Amino acid sequence: MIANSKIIAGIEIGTSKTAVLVGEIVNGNSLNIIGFGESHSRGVIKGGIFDFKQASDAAHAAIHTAEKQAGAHIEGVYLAQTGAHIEGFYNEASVTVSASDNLVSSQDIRRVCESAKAKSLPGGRTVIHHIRRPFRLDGRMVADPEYLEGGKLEVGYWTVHGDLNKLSDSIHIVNGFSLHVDDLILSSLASGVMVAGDDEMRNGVLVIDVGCGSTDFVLYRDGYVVRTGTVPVGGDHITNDLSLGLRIRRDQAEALKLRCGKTMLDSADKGKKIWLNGDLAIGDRELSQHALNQIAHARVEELFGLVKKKLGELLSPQKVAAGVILTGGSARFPGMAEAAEEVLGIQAQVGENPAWVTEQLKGLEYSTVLGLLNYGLKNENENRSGGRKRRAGGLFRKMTQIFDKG
Amino acid sequence: MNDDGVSKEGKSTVDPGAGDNPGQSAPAGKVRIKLFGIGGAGMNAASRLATENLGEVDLIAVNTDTQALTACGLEKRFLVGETVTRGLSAGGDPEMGRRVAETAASGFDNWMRGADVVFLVTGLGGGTGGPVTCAAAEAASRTGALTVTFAVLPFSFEGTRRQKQAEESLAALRKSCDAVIPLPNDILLQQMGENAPVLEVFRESDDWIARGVRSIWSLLTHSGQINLDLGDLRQVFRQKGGKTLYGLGTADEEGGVDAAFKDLLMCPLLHTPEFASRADHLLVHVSAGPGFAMCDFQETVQRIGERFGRDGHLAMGVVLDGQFSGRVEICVLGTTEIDRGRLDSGRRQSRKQASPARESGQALLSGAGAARGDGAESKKEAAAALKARQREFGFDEDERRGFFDRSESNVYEGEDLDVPTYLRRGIRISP
Repeated sequence: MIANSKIIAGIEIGTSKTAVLVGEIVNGNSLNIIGFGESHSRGVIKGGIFDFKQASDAAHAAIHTAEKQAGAHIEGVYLAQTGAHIEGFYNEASVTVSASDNLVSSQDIRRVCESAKAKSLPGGRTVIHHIRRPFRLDGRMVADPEYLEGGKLEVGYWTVHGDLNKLSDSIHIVNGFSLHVDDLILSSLASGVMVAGDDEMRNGVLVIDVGCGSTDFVLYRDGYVVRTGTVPVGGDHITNDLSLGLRIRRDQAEALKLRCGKTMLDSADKGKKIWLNGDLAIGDRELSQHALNQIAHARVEELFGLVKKKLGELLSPQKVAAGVILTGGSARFPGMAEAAEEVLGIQAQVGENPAWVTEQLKGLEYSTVLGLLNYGLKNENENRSGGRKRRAGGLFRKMTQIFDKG
Repeated sequence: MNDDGVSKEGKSTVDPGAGDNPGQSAPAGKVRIKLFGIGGAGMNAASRLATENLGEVDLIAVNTDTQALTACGLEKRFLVGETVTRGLSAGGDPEMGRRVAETAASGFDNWMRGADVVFLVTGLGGGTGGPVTCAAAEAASRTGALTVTFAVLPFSFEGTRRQKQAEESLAALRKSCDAVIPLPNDILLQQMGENAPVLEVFRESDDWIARGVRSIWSLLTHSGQINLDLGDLRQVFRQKGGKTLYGLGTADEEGGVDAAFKDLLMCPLLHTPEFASRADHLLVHVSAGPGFAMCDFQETVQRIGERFGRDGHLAMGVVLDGQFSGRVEICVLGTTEIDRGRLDSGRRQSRKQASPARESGQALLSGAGAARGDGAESKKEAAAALKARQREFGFDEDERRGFFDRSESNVYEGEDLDVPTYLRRGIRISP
């Protein structure tokens, strides 16, 4: 490989699939995707690993494929995290600007940041992200307060933390393949940057990533993350509900969901019949499309209701002017955007991965793993320039795509 | 027994037909069956059964409320907790329920005497049903009778407090009964027509109870073409502490046993999150009219075994009965998850320090462990056994098992999010 490059991988050990994307970062500022591997996850439920061995075997198969395709050794891994154990809290701090001329110094900034992050966690928990909100200098929002004049400097952090044991389970899986985890990234943060643009993040946007086992969301405003969260409910729940409600096997329910799944009630579907297997073979029987819609709608309505509840006052059409963007593998069902709009009271749409993404990775279930590489790029870039000054905003557009199916 | 119907120590009985001593022993060779309808819901179901012409079943109404007891129309009545409630309703107060249960214990001992099989029918969630039924179940197990409990569970929309009480009672009942069959109102509601009033569901649960009792009764009292008896029933429910699998399927004679099997597959009680499991022991009982043709029967039983049971532990019986003319009914009874539950909790224990909430579950489950003679051994062992089991069954099991069974609970503001939303919201689905 060229001297000035680093090979990184984004790995998402999800409930339905484990996806691995290998990227080459050139000169710290551009990224080529050079390998992709995917396997059916096992031993993962509701976003959490419950059978280490099975989850590990599935992940290793995907890593192996991706590395082989990339033809290079992975040097660092960005690992997605989700699950019910992940929680967050918001904490603020303020300092009086120390210099007599009231100019904010880098020490002031460090002091305020450290004290805002100082809140201690209960035992067995560890921080995944400290997400900084914009600085406020005498109440005025500023991106970078250094050398500005003011009396009181404030900052807040949305701190995301998780169960140490659960986090280390997934790290151990990656370590088990003799790879080093560079960073843990919240799934919602990864998929958020893929489907929401800078303008939307400035105006206020809520990205909801409806996965197979869990749903992750992230709310942006003024270009910053305001809140993240996880609801341990996803497409698996729709399948399970259908299986119980229509009294069909789970595998039949899954296939039926993919073939006929609809999440809104539709009066045109009353009395409409659908075939269970659709193969006209013995054992096939007719089911009501309306019943399917009812079951899926109840679940999805509740899911968005939970997101709404968790966001509380942060959610309003004014504060989230750019609306709601849905992504994740379960966002594809007809009626998802309508259901979200109905419950959240904010206009909603199903998102898209950026235009440069190849056909193979266009599916919304890949938003997260694509976003992981984006984080990796940003991280490498910051490491190189060595300063917090350089913002990674424009860098992502330099991402190039020379990914061919090898 | 006291004919005046009032005595101290909670032994108070209102029993006009007391000439028939509850302690009287059964004639040799006959199975003596007693059914206790406990509380309002239980009494209703028992009254309903009184019209079913089940010979040789003693029906006994149990309540704290004198007025309700008199109104129920059953001859044998047991007034409980008179010293606590003064013959009034307990008003759903769990503390009062516990006190009533304490005073009723010795009275139940008297009533249980001589019974081989005891049915307890009750509604849980209200506070009295649970503790009193537990007291009855303990009394029954002291006499060595086989105890089968039908417990109606409240609607989710009745609130989390009632749900929680019902669940606690259910767990306690599983400890002392041989079989506990929960009938969740949420699920029975799904059986109703789209425009039927919600309260109709109570009639539905009475119906399920009646069919279940009738099925077990007919198995015990009729000598069938292929006979099953008390011994077989005992064999199925040999270990306490597991969950009971219970399903019914019917068809008319024309459709035959095959159609009844298809109906059984659609039985709502087998399509609840916790009953997607396979049974460790299984009993299949077919009731049919005298004209029933026995061909195809063997094959159907085999298919039932494949669908619900593990290998080897399957007992089956056929009774031809004039009352079933023109109909075929299949009843399956079984036990599931006796060891799995224990292992699961072992795994959780090994991961984390025991939380108080889990300790109760652990205590309950260790009962099952002790019964198997391997007690509460090391957590590591249990975890290792679970691992082995998971490898053994792999993911093929998921098709049949409750999918979220093995995952951690998913409770948000008192609601279990893994339970289908439509069930919790009482949305009726007509498949």
